[in-house]
Amino acid sequence: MPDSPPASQDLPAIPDIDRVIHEPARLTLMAHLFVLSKADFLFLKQQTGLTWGNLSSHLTKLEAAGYVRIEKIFVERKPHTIAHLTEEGRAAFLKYRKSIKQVIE
Amino acid sequence: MSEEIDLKEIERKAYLSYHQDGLIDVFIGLAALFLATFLWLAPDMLIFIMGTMFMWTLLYIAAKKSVTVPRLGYVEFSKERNTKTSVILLYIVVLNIVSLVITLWGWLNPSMFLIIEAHGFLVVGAAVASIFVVVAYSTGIHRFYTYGVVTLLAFSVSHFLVLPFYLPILSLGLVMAVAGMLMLYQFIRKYPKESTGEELDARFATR
Repeated sequence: MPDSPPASQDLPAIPDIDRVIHEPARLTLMAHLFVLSKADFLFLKQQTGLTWGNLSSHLTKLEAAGYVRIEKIFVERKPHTIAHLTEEGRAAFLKYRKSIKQVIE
Repeated sequence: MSEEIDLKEIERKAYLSYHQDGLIDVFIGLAALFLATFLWLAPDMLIFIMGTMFMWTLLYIAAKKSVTVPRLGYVEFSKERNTKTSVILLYIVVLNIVSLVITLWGWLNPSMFLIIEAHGFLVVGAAVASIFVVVAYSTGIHRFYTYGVVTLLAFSVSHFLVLPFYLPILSLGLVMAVAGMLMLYQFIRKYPKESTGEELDARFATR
């Protein structure tokens, strides 16, 4: 009886999943920033339910990956530190959605 | 497709959370009460009062910045959302143009104007209710459907009971102002003012 081929050869090719985005908190942040133009930290915290520590940690990683830009703006002379997706971030998020859809389908 | 639905839901929740403060209800309600009071006590000053309506918009914007932003945070919505808001303004402009056309037509054709005048309450009520419906549909803030129904009811009752013109406006104003204040109270309890994460700001400010 011939040996059966290794199990890995039977598996369909799974597209590379972006590990920066593929983490629940960062995925939530990316999703929010994808549908909003800009948001400050407080708004992101209120919408995502993350703690300040988690928010900081995940935004740092997203910024390091080039997906998010963080800048300080003044609204009515009050400073707000806001985040928004970069073009690279938008493209990465769209690619991530496509990859996940392929995996599911 | 499920991802699309989730993103829409995220955007919808974010937008609705920004309007759960009840401020728009409070200020439209107060503006209606203000208008109704002057219609009752000094109807000759109506032109002057219409000019002060702009003041309520400025007060609303100021209240948003001092009440909502410190509690919920600062956000800029997408162009698609801003387009939906523009639809509301466009509808109001179209309605005003239609009103002008009807007024001119009535001036040229007095018999038609008499018909409109005889049903003035219903015409105004329907017009105002339609604005609320357009707002509710465009924004997804469903309580505006209720305000539309209240408007129709108030103006219809006033028409059939031959009540003064200021009464339905007063009723609508009261309903909206009280509803808005209740929502504002709940909003302030749910979202106390908190630090905007100065440590977080400091960390990112050095970049």
